[in-house]
Amino acid sequence: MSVHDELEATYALLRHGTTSALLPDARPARTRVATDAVTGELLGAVIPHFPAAARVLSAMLGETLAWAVEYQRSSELSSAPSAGALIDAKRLAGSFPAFVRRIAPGGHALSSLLGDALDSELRVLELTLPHPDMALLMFGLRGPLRAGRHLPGAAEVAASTSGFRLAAHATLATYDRDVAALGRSATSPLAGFLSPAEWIDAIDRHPWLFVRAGRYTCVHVLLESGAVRTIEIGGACAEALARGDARPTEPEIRRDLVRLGALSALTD
Amino acid sequence: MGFSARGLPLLGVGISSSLGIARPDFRALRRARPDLLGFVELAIGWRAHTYLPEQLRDDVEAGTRFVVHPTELSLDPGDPPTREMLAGLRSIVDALRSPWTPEDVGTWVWRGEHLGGGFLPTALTEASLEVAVRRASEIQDATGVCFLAENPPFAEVIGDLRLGTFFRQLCERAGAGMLLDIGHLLSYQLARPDDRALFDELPWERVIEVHLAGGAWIPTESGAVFWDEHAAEVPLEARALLEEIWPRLPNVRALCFECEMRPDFAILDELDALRVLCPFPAAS
Repeated sequence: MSVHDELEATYALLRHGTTSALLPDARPARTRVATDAVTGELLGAVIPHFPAAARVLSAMLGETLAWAVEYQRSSELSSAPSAGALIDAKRLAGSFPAFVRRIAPGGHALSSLLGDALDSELRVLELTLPHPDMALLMFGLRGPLRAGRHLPGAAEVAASTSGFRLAAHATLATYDRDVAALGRSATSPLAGFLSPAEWIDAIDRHPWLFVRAGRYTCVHVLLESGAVRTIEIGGACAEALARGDARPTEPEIRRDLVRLGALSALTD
Repeated sequence: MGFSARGLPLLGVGISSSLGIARPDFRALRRARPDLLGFVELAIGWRAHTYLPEQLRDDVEAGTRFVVHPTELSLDPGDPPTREMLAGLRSIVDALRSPWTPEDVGTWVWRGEHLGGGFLPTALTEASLEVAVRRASEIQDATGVCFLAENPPFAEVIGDLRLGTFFRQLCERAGAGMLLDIGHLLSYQLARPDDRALFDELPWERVIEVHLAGGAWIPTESGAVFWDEHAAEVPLEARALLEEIWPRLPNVRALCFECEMRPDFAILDELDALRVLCPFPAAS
């Protein structure tokens, strides 16, 4: 078999899930190696941005990574605008959540968890789009736009009586689980030793992998470092921030606003 | 040696670290924001006296303040600290100029085995109290600096004494101070919610240092357990408890954010916020 034939066989397996009818003597084992490499590359792009969603999805779909092959062939991915040969964060954000929502079985016990994982990870990804360095410029956290921008710090917020609102590089959100813990749990080295189903079991009881269930209100903040930090805040502060006028007068609101000020997440 | 808060230095807000763990990098933090990092608390074993003073000499000379937190001196009837252990601890305290030494009251070593983070909290009994008083006095005499008895984390509470009674008695009889760990206090409140006298009995005036750390409520068949997890976010409840307690502490000198294994960028903003929310002096 020629190199060209091998490539034909790999392409057929990827696109159609079978070896090519034109190449009945294609060697499945070698073709499988090539297929796994392509799937692995795709997962290498997905998992850093959607670690929890990918795990929950695998647990829902019978402990396999077959969904990755399906995603590779999906209309969502092929129709997402591409900037190049490799999948980038923008293309991933534009295609993966829609794909997951289409294939995830409805009414499943893990549907709510999957929804929280997907929503929170997408929000974090959106804060850094199209690229973390570009996002830092756009939001004025770095570069020429920074000079004209005033982001009050912790001490200034604490001493103020005026109202604050969230800066554009910070997003308010509410979930049914502690999504900061969910992300930490999904990416912990310990989780790497567990199957998706074992990890799902552990997040309800294991001290190092535990994810608290219940209403979780938080702010996702893009930091100057390019990383996104998620911090929980109280309901009163969340309501005030949603109104766009949070004043550090009540102790609970003040406590949260000072923390947000320390993250340069507020504007006046 | 009697207890007196007078003369103990004001360290402000700092972090905990273990030199065996790469994160957080206290040197990098100090370079990034020298104004924020008041001190570094090191969890260490006594054997470190053979290398630690040399390893940290430049840091000490450069002005980094250290607090030495031993993790193997059991204040219980189990394996008592030996003279060799206490002498080793003394050398570290001297070399790092640690102004005090805190330790959780419980069993760190059992039949020669170090229990690590799974150490057993003390039983709240008269018998345990007697031993703890004796051990705390021995450690204090051996190191030459104030010993701070730290309230340990509880999943279950054994014994009839209340936590406040136990620690007030321990501190007063041993002439020691107290380190109040907020998360550990939450764990006690969960384990024994009917202790209504807690806030009346704790020796607030002897609290020299406070610990704040991440953690989570883990539900079990016999009730929730608060698990102290230094890599996790600090729960809102712990923040509220800290704010409630802070004005009750007339002699507090240090607030330690326990943050091993957290990325460095997630520490600076915490220190910044804590410095504003918990100003020193805490109470007049």
